[in-house]
Amino acid sequence: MARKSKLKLGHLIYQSILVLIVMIVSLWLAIHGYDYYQTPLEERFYHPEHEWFKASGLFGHGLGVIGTLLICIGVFGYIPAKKYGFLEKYIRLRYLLEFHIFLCTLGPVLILFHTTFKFGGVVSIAFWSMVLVVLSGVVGRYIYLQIPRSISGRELSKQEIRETQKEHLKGLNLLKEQAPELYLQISNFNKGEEGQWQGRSAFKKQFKQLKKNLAVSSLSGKEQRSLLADFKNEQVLQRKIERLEYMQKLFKYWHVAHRPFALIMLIVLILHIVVTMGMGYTWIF
Amino acid sequence: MAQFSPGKLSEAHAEFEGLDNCTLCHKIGAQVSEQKCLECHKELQSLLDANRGYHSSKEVQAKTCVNCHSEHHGRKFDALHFDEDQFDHELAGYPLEGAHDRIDCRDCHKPDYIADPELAKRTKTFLGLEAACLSCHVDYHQEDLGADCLSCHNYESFKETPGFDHDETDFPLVGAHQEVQCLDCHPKVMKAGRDFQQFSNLSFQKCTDCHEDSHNGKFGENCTDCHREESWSILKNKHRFNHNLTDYPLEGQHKLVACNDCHRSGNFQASMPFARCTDCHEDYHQGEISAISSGVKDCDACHALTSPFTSSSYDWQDHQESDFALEGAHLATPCFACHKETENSRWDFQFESQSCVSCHDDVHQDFLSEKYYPNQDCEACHTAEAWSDIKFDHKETGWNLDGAHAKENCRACHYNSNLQRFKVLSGDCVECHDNVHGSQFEAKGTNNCLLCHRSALTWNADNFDHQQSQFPLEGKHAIVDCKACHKPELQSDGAEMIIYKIEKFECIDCHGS
Repeated sequence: MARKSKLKLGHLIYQSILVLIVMIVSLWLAIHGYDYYQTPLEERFYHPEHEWFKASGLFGHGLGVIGTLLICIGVFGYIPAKKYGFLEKYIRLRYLLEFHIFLCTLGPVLILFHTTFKFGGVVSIAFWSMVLVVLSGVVGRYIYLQIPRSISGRELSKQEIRETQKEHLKGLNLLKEQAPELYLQISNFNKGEEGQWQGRSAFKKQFKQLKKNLAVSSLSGKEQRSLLADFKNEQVLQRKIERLEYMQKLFKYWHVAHRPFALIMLIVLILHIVVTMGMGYTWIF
Repeated sequence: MAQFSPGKLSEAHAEFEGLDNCTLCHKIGAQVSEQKCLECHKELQSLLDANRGYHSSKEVQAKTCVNCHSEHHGRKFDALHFDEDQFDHELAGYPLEGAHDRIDCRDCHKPDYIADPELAKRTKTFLGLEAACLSCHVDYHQEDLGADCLSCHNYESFKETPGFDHDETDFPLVGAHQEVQCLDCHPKVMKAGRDFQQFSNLSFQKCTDCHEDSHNGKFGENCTDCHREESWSILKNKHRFNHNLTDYPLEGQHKLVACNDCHRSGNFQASMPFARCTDCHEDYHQGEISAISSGVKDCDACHALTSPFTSSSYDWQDHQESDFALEGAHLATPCFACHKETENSRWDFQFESQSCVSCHDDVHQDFLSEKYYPNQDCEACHTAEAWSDIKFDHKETGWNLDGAHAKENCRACHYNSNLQRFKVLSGDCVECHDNVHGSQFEAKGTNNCLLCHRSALTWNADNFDHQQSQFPLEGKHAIVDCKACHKPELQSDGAEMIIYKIEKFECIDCHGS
């Protein structure tokens, strides 16, 4: 149990670091180049730091190159690993996905500053494709989370879901005494129509009421928190089960959208790089 | 910028928009090609080839076109981004000086001054101007002075010509020429419909090439023989001036006087009236001559230049033409004897009247009777021949001169000492003659000597007939000398007087007893 908590905390730190990196980098880029980026396009050439920030400048071009590399690593590191699972021994797929999200968030951020917010021309197709890929990634991530998964990120089977529910109900034993009606409602979820998930608002209302009841109960704080967590987990799980088929279908569709955008982006990106290098813009090389 | 289709081209390059045209500017593997830029911008290439203009300056030489002129920044992008106020025009090979530094860029950089018609179509271009002044400025001198304006003018004002030194010309300015305005010698005229001042190809070998010959060629062409360049009126070599070339050749005394004595103003150019002597000379006679003689127009009627003014050519023959023809003694009389100098007029030629007494003293004034001396007319008695010639006929007085009287000088009777006696004489003999007989023959208070004396011949008492007296002579008495009977007696005044009236007729009275 303690190991599980430790892993959770480590994961949280890992996630936070990734988010912080994205935020700090984004913030720093915005602040660092604010004066240049807010200069009208027609006047940027005469900005004193144009040579630095411009898309073909040492800094701007560097952002493009590094951003592209991050995206490429994020994409080409994640997709084979997911498909062939050759990294499963070393890293859980969900972590890899998170890292994929991190790289493919940070990369576009760098690309965004590489573009100097100048969106036009054929190459903008790559950019906007990238934007769509990122946005669809956010949507996909949401859908992804709506489907119950194992710790490694693998989609749970129905049996595994039921096992999980049992685990939750075990934890909710205390609820029998504190809120027998609520326990009944939760436990009946899989038994019939009366067990239908009440929806987010009902859940919030129930959760709030439960929290209030527990506060005046004889349960310790730890017990209360554990009870509330199990209640919450079960409610979330029930919600996911409720929309599982829908989300599974949506997830399939999502792949149809996410991948083509990424493909278009990559093609135009390659074209962009080829043309760029062909024209002699080789950055530091 | 190294993106394909990275943004719209600026207005100037808008026609090259499109992916097909990338390589118009971009060179594969070499970013933007400067060579390609200049292939289009031939005007810049030609400037670079000629090492002229801003793009040939050190500031630009080390740069590529895109260092300064970018693209793909939108249609409104200003690819020049030219800061007119900060631009160092010297980098263009033409430092702005003087007035050029104060005017607006577009005062010069405008199509009017751009020779290349294609460049002239570009309203925003700063190319196309030549450094030569005349590429912008109108040649005021109309190719008269060449194209190097700065050899004379500066950038401050066209009117100023600090670089011009007239001494370096073929006509260094000397004297008054240094003081006059350029326009005085190089006046504005119209040429080809514009103001024009001719500075070259001017004739200046002769003064009269510029100056009007006020002498109308009389004195030749070389004005400087007489005139100085310092001033027309200051003459040199005056003594060498041939005045005979003028309308007034100098003669006689005029040759001896100083120029300024006549040309008093010092302006020898100023025309002077000289038709009459009095145009220069003061009328010594103060109008008298012209007043008395309508025929005399000028001094030279009497005076000649060959001798001083004090001499006069007017002689007695001329005088005969006057209203007062000289006669007699007047002919021999010096002029000044009559025409005397007075306080008011130097030589008096005008007389109030031509009467003798207007000149001569009237010696007979109050002594002659108006009857014989009417209006103080001396010529009633005298002639001009000589004062002493008296033409007076004494008969008019009723006292005819005969005998010894006819032989006597007038003065013998009419002058007593210096005292004239004319009208005061009554004809009584004793008024002139001494009365040696006292009152012996006095009758009614007068003595008539002629009763006895026959003056026509001698003083002898031829008219006396002793026979008619109270004592007629008889006998011996008739032959004795008068003095034998009539003897002088001493009178009370001490003088002796012969007693003719003896009053005693007795013999004893004479012969004694």
